[in-house]
Amino acid sequence: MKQINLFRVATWCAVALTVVFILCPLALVFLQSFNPQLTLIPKSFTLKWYTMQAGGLGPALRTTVLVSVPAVLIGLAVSLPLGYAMARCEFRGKEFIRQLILLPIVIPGVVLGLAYLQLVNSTALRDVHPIPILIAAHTIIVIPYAARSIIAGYERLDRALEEASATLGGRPALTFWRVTLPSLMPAVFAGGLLGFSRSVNDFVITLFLIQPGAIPLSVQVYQTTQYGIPQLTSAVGTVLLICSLLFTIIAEYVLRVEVQ
Amino acid sequence: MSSGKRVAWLCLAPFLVIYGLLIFLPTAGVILKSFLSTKSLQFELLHLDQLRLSQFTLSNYIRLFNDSYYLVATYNTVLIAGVATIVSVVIGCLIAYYLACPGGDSRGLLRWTVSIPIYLPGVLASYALFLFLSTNGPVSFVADMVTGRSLSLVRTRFAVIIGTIYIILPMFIRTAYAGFRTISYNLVEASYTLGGKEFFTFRKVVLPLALPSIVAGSLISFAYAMSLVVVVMILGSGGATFTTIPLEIMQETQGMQHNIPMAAAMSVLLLVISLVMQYVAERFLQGRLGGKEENG
Repeated sequence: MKQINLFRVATWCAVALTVVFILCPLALVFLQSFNPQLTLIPKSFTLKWYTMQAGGLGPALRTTVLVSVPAVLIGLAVSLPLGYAMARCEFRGKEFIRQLILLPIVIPGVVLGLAYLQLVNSTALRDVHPIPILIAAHTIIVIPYAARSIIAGYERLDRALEEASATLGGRPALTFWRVTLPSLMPAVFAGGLLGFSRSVNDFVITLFLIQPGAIPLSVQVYQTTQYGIPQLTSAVGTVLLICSLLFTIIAEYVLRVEVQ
Repeated sequence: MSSGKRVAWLCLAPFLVIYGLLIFLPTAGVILKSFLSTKSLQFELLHLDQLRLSQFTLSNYIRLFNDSYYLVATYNTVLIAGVATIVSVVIGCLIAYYLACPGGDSRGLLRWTVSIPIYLPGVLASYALFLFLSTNGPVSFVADMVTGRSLSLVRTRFAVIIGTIYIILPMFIRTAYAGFRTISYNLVEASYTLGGKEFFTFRKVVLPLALPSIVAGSLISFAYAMSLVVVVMILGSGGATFTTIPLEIMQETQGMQHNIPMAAAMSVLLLVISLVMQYVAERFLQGRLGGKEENG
């Protein structure tokens, strides 16, 4: 009997510890962002950290949107034909390509960051605005997630629908627009959301490529730590936190995606 | 058939071009750089005239594996990633099994909580823990009440280990959970019927069956933990008291005395470890599943 209890107790301890360990620091960031003074328990409430110029919340939000939205769209545009080829065509080296798609997840961010820094610094890319360069780098972050979701979507798709459309005289383009794409939409949306989340969250690769005036949110959190005002960093962090919680809710409850 | 193949390659073309230009070309540049001695940020693959002038050398790797500075950095990296992985595997297995057992579907809050860090930026997680563990945080507050002295745990290896666990534990739980889910619960019940106690059943029936997933999950977590730089940047001491390989890569690229070939050699080390771990992990997962069905 004693052993049963010990195992139960260990499990309960692990569960309680983990929930506290994950949630408490985040709650602290949220609380501190509204705290006028540096105290553990806020005595009054302020929004001044959110509007402070030094926090750079507005420009950082703008950069994040300017980088991540195009990166997701390009990533999806590349992944749609890729998904079609992987799910519907037979060719040599398919398994190899399936592994290849995952490379950006496997290669450490710091390695890719260094690689991009080296490439950008010694070629004509040096004079290009940082935003297009960030978009290119973030496209690479998005593709594995978008592609995996879309390939799975294609594999689940009922081919009979497309065949019916073709039999009824629908041209391939019409069939794709009216039949295939609408049924693929959940997979496209799930892949895009995951990719968007990874793009917004990326820190290391972005850090190698940023220039003043084009700093996205995740890096801005780090930049504000240099001022030594925890509440300011917490305010920028809380905006990111709310985005992350939204992603979690949509992904886990609305779409029920499976992430690795 | 040949036209079908043409369509396939046409569909693959954008993907192959993007990966070629943005993965293979830059990575090849780093690998090449690690064998050169020119310290500047040149991309030799596109400047072949400079490549002709530069000398090939193994000195970066020799330094990496002999210089005590880099050996200590490697030791720190392996220590932090190793301890974080072991703690995550022990706690993660308990939680994943708890979630995977019948009735686990109703454990929504726990499921949701352990999913949060997967969607959370590493920089935010690290900073949240920084607040949590620093002098103004609750840990210090409790220490102050008990001992009368405030307590700062940040800028230590301990803090970096905690931060690493925060990020890899949820990743590990996902993989282990997928492994536990494939086990038929009938086997567990059979063990109970035959008098097996709960822990005995877990150890003798559940763990052996889920072992490939657990091993694969720990390998991937370990490789990921080794290359994590954001945690060290925020919870570490900025290289003042201890440094790690990924932090060194960052620092070699900054400041006046940057040494890109050395950063490249360390990157190749991390790259090789990550690729090997991923390959072995994949082997473990496929060996158990006997194919490519429901992976992940």
